[in-house]
Amino acid sequence: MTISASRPAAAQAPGPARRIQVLGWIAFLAVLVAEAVSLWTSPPDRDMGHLQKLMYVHVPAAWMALLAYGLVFVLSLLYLWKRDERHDLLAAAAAEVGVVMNALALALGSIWGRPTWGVWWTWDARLTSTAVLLVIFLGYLALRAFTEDPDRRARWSAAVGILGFLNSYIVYMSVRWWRTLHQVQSSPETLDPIYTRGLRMNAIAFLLVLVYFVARRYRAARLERAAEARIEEAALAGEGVHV
Amino acid sequence: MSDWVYIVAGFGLTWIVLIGYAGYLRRRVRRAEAALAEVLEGGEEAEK
Repeated sequence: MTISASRPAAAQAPGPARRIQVLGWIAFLAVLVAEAVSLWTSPPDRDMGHLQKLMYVHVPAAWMALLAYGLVFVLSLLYLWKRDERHDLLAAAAAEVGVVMNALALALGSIWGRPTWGVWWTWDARLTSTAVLLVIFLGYLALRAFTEDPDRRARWSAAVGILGFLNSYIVYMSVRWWRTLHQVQSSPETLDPIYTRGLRMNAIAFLLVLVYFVARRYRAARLERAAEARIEEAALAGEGVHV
Repeated sequence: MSDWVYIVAGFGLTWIVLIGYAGYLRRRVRRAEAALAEVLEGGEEAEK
């Protein structure tokens, strides 16, 4: 495992940090514009009326959660193959952001479910499998928090990340495999273009937010790890690093 | 309740979560930068 504790590049280079901040402003502005446009331009749906507008935040949040978990899957495989710590830290960053998006998608689904289904929550296959996915990745984060050895932490969490992502397929297919209250996935063929445009705009805006969050979280992880590695290095050398 | 109550709740919650998490990340990065700077300074002092 390669750690550059004595040269914490992430701490010394202001360039990437500034670019991440700029990306953040662009991402939040994109969400604001996408939401405003989709709210004002989409007419009420025949069945759901104005409640359809919740699709513009609920669906992108769910997509971003799955995308983040997909990233965890790929990075975990890369870590197990190459043993490069950057893959592990990036996977952890994606997992945390995935948890935020997953929880948001569930909460928004609940807000949408109350007026359309008459309940805040039901043990429907889609809802339950999404909640299970959230619990798995909360477990992933807990595992990382309670494992001190960086190498063991990386290996174990890579295994959980890979297995956790496999549950995403169950989440995606749940509306086809089982009879559920949740509707089957919409596609541009089944959705009126006036709704598709707003959904695409919000999805792109949420994607920018996802990239911003992962980049920011990864930067924090690099800095924390550099400090940890410096302490370990100093302890091995018999130096007295004060923390 | 009007549909708009749920819509406002949904969009409001989205912004609370996004801004809240962005704030948490900002604090975490700053804390990590400070911790690393402290460790590096501590190491330099020990070398002296």
